[in-house]
Amino acid sequence: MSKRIVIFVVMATLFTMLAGCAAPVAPTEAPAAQSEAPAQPEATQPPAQNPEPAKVSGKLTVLCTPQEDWCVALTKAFQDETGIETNYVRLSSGESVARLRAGKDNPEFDVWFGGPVDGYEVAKDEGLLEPYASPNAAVIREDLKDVEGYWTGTYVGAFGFCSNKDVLNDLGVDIPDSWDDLLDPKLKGQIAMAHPATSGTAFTAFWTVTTLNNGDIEKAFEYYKKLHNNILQYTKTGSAPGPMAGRGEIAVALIFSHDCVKFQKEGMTSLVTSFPAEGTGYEIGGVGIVKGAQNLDAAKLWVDYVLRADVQEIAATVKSFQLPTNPDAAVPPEAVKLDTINLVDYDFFASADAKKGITERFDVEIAPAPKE
Amino acid sequence: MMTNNKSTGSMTLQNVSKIFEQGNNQVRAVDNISLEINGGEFITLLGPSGCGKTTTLRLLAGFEFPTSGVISLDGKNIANQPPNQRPMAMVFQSYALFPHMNVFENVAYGLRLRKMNESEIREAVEIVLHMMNLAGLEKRNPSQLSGGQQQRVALARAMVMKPKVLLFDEPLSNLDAKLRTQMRVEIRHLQQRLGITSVYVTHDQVEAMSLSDRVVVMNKGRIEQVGTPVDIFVRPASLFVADFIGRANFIETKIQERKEQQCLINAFGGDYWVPCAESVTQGDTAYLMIRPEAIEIKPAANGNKNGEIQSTVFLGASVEYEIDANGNHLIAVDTSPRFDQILKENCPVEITFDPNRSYVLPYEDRN
Amino acid sequence: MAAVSFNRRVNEFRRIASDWTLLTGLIIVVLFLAVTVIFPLAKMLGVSFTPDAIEYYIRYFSSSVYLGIIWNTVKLGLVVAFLGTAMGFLFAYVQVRVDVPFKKFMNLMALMPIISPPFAVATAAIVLFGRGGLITYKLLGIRYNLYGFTGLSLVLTMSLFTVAYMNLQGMLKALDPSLDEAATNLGASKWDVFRTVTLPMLIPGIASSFLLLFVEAIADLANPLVLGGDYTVLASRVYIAISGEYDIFAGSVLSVILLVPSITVFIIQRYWVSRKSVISVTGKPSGKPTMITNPLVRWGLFALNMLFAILIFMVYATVFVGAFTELFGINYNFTLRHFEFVLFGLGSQAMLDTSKMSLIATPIAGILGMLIAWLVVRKKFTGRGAVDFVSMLGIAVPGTVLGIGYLLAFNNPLKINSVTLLPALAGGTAIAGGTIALILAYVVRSIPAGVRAGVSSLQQIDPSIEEASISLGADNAITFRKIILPLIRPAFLTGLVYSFARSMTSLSAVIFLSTPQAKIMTAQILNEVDAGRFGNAFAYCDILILLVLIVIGILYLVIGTSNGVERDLGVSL
Repeated sequence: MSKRIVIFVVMATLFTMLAGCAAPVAPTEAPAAQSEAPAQPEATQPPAQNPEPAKVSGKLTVLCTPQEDWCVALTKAFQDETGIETNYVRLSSGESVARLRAGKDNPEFDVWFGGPVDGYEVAKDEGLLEPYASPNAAVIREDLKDVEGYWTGTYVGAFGFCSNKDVLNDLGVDIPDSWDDLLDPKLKGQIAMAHPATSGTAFTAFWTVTTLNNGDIEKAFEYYKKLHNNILQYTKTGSAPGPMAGRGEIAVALIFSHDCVKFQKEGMTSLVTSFPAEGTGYEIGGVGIVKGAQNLDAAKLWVDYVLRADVQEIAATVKSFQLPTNPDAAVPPEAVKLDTINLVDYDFFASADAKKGITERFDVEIAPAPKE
Repeated sequence: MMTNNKSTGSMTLQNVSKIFEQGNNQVRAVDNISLEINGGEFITLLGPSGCGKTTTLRLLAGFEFPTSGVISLDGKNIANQPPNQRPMAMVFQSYALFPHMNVFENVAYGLRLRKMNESEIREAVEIVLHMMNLAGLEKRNPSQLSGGQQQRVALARAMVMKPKVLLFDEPLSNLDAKLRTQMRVEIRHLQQRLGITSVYVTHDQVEAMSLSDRVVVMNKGRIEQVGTPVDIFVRPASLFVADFIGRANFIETKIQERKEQQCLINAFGGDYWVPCAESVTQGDTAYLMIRPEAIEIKPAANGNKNGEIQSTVFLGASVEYEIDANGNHLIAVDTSPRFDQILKENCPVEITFDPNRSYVLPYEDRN
Repeated sequence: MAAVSFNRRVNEFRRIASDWTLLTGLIIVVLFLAVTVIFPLAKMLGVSFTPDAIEYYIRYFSSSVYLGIIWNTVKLGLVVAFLGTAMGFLFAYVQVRVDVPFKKFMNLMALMPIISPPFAVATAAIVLFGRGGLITYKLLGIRYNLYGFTGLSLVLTMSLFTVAYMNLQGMLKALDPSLDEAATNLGASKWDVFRTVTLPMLIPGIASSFLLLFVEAIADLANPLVLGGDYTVLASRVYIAISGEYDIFAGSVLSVILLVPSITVFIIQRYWVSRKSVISVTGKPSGKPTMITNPLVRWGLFALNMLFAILIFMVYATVFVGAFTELFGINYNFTLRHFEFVLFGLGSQAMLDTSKMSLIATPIAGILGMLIAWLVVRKKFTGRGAVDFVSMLGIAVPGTVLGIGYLLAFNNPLKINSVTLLPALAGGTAIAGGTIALILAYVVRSIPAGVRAGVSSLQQIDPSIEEASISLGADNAITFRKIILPLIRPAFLTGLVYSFARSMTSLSAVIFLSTPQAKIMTAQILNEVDAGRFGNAFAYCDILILLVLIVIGILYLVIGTSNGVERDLGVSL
């Protein structure tokens, strides 16, 4: 009998310990006295730059696409400042759209943060987003936000090649600086990219190739059919090929350049970034409110929040070196300056329209195909 | 002791059948049997394996339900009463002692279920353990007991419930011969003392004869005969019964005359008046059943020979002879042999027999 | 005749009905299985046969790419089944028949995969044997491509062979040594005995293991996602279809395609092969088994076995060490930041959620498993075989298939004519944040092991013990509680242990069901592995293994072994 008492005490202690470890999203009670925030005007009336956060309560669930550590840092910071219990789930861009689609009638998320706006356009077309013109969006460049207010850009990043110079040395291949370099037979099984269905990164790359071919999707598919022979594996997440290159499993990873820099900084020192000379694509990382969000007020607060200069600077603290869209935010020195590379004229609307068809076809024709 | 009033534990089976379905076959384990069990009696179901005796017992217990027919206890139909509600206790062939409980707990189990209070339980258990010579073994586990002790615990566990009917499913078959005999005697004494109706199943006719007030001989799901051990032995109802209880020699014969309970027949060159079955009449062909012990043989003088010894087996307390009597194969047993007069093989003999230890049975096709 | 058997059935049920606890138990089991197994599967089958979905069938079966994927899946299953059974046989044979040192170590290594999460082996294999691997590159200088068919089958073999090992070990132990002696006496050499006596008697066990491994291999999702390379299998396709597109038609059609070989092989294994076993596993043979004495054979087998055991050891050592290493493969500095990330960062919620849900699911699965085992073994009623079969579907059906079924069945409330029968159980906006669907999925996946443990345990109990209890006045409930349960306690414990380990490490069935309020550790690990943050992944794995071991330890202390029926862990699987 006493043996069992000991056991229960041990179990109870263990559980309290485990419960205590639940630090990051530990619920902090929202302040008791709440007055409803004055309804944000739907029109684009720019009030003060940093309005007092209204006393909003409840929970916020964020669908978060960038790197996990950035999601953690951002949600924590938001929670600390507003007292709103914030939860997130990290999903790649394509997965996010799929998830929003799945929860259309009963959305589990309030707001979507990060990931290329191609995805936001698709979501907007499917009626999955809610327009909101944040007062803080006024300072954002026109070409970095949706005219109707369904999404706003929070960061920008360029797509590039992330190579392991040691592996390239062993293979006797130079650092690639053109799309054609990737088709080198010496790189067979040495390249990795994400699957365009799940990853916004990979889709951005695909559309870039399409754009380089004057919008001819067929030519893009031909390119990728050839590239397929050199691909080792299609990952789920856009940035995943980076560590693969970092560890020497492959020679070249096709990812966003800011991710490449991040991995370098985190210790994968053999990595080098390069860009295709013909032209490369870029992403605008968006933020948008989910239609039918359970906590609309908190969602709006979040949008206001991530458009602030000081908040955008949080990214650099977790080694996310994208370019912030708020012109007052400090640009980290590690960030790739867009004017130093050749960017294509990326049409987000066209890409969004074509996305579903492309990803489905890619999935059927290219990804599972046997290699030559 | 054999009254049939209201709550003595008398039972009745009326036209009871039990059919098992095995795949596409139907097995009639019990075939339309009817039986009256008197309150307080010790009755044995006896027969070879597959005869339906165990199934009948399980029907009484409630572990099987009859396909048709009525089973009553003290006049009340119990056909749909679940087994745990019947006032019967069973002693199993494998004893079925609960391995995770000690002797005391095993015996107390059923009493605990009745929510008796602790001191009453303790008292009842102690009494029955004493009765079964198990005092002092309360704390032992079944695995620490000998076969005989386990058997007695099983018995104690059943007895302590003061059931109206005790059911025994070949409880002694796992014991060695000597223990078996000993336990037989104990069981009989116990039952007589307590007067509980007992239904006992066995294939061993010695057990059946020594324990029972009455014996039910079963074969292929049917009852061949019900009667006291004497009845069954002396006046068997069929060839099967005659052959199953003890041993029997069968000789085909013709009834010359019938007078009251006896028939006149001719055997071994002589005329004998032998007790015979009711249905046998003058002129019938019938079977003469002679028990081996009833045959007398002596060396034949010239002309008196009606048989020849084929083999002799000396068993110590008796001598068995196989005899060829003009085509009939006989077994004779000399139960008080004179050791200097044991007959040898090929010895011609004159055969006579004791008609009072014989019987005439109606003719049956022996296939 | 028909009238007789109808009456008989009616009487059967009347009798069951009169014992209300038995009736309640039966109703609970049937309802539970209907809601958690039959309903989701039916829903998924329903979706996969709508007119929209039929198009997909046509598309898939006329595409050489998809036919290739189907063939890939089957090929992987066959190869892994073969290698896994062989490896299991080697380990088992050495344990039982060869007298060599380090047996405990080899046994432990063979059992490790039960408690380890699905990615542990794959991830460790990448850092050890990949192109930049510690062993292959740093030590041996080769850039070995682990991704693809070869690496996948090797890793799957290492992860799944435990089942074959335990099965075959149990059977080898139960072989009657006097058979060997009889053969020897008649002139057979050791090799003859092995070839003509031992092996043939083990064939049902070998076939059984082979088939079971096949089913597990084709259902596996974790390893193809991590290591698949360009080798695509049905499970990963299903995953992409749902999580990348939320295309429920593609998902259900692919699930049905995956379901067919799975269920077929499972049925063959259960109803044909296992019936042919000539070894009574419940018997206790007399005497000791004959050991191998030929030194060449003995040490040869030992070397082979140790080689694999050491490989496994290295893999798990990597999982352990990698959690404390900055960047395994590049920077070997000691660090605790991975653990910080897991325990105090985002990881803690997943840890708590998964543990809580597994802890809730475990006793439910344990009790239901025992209840079903008891009903199936002891009580006769129409539909007994059906109950038995449906309860086994929890593992016969691939996890992804079950997951999709749950998604389709429980994402929305079940309504008939606007009367809500069942509220939504899955998805972030459902009751309890979707945890109910997850818990049910855990339970369904764990019940089969509990049932099997219970069945083999019950078969060892003399039925007259139950009858004795009944004849002394106990009804079924009391008999179950006071007599059966104590005697099957070891099997019950085995079932609980397995349930918890299985639930904590399960991925494919639950990956579609995770919500913001109900995070799953294995899904988090997938994220970390996919993103290349191996240090975090290893830390996660370590914590998961630790949690499982702690709970197992507690279970053993609280429930413990009794002087009831002792069963081998192996037989119950």
